[in-house]
Amino acid sequence: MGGDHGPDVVLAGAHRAADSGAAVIVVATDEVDTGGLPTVRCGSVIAMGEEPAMALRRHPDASIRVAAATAAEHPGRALLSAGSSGATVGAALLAMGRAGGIRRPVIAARLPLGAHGVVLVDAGADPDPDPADLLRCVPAARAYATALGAATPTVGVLNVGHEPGKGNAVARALSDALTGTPGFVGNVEPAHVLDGRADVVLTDGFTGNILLKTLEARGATGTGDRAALVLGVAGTVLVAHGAAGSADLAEAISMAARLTRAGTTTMIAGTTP
Amino acid sequence: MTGDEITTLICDHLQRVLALDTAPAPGASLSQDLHADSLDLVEVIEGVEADLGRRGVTVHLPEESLRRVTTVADAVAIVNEAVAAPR
Repeated sequence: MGGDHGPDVVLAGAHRAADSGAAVIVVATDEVDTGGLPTVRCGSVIAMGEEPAMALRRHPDASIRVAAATAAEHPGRALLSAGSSGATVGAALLAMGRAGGIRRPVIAARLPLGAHGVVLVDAGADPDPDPADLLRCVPAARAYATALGAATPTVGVLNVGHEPGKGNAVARALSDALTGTPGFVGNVEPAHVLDGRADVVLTDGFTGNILLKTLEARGATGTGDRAALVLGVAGTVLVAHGAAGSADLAEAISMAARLTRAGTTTMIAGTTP
Repeated sequence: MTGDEITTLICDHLQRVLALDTAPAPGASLSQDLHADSLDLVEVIEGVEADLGRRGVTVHLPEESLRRVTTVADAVAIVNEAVAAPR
């Protein structure tokens, strides 16, 4: 039900994905004609302007709560929403629980850089993360990069210089912890990120969101970059850009299916070798 | 349920949601001391409600009660009130 363009565009994306073979279930209010797609009905919708936590509490029958509960019923399902990101993450936490003891979920976004795309973690969920939470997400982020096409994904820490010891507390902690681990290429400066030197780039959500929005402002993102993976929730959850079109959403559904098959979520908890 | 059992239940959920090493002190401020946000509080309260429901105690804490909660003791108090209220 979410998204800047309303349910029609979301449904068009769902139909495109279903036509390509994806098993799509849509959640919609009674008045929405879902065109024959398998549908679970909900009673209300959380508006973009509502404070997410109390809105989730206020609307137990909201589309995003019903969708999260529907996805949580079976381990092989994924949740995708183009509505409020805060409400989506909140509903997913309430229905699915946390993964890997991560205090606050982070967002892994694909940047259209390098040969296969770069996975940026965190793209904007937590401006002041616990570095340990970001480190727990590395296996899942690498699995995401693999799903994008990187055979042996490399990992870098976004920084103002490539030398060890550079950067703020989060960057130094990440770099120190990852030094010597397989695939770690060290600190990467913005130019290195643009060159695709690392398949996974780690940073705090404040810096990551600025990087993401800078690329968006330059028109550097396209279809395939309008949805991002939420890490730290015990399920496959993607948040789509509110302005996502039907092609973007169809691609996001396809990606959700690939990530679910790859078992990305279980890698956060370290339960997958 | 006794007040002590409710306190333990709430502290268990706070520890889980907030990834705390030890049980929080009753006077701890959720936002200042424990760095909890409104979603954390909702997650704790819904977990407590679900656990109470499994023990045959059905409660649903209204939004206005949640908005009054600033400390661990406040959370314990509103749950105690809800459990004790006639249904």
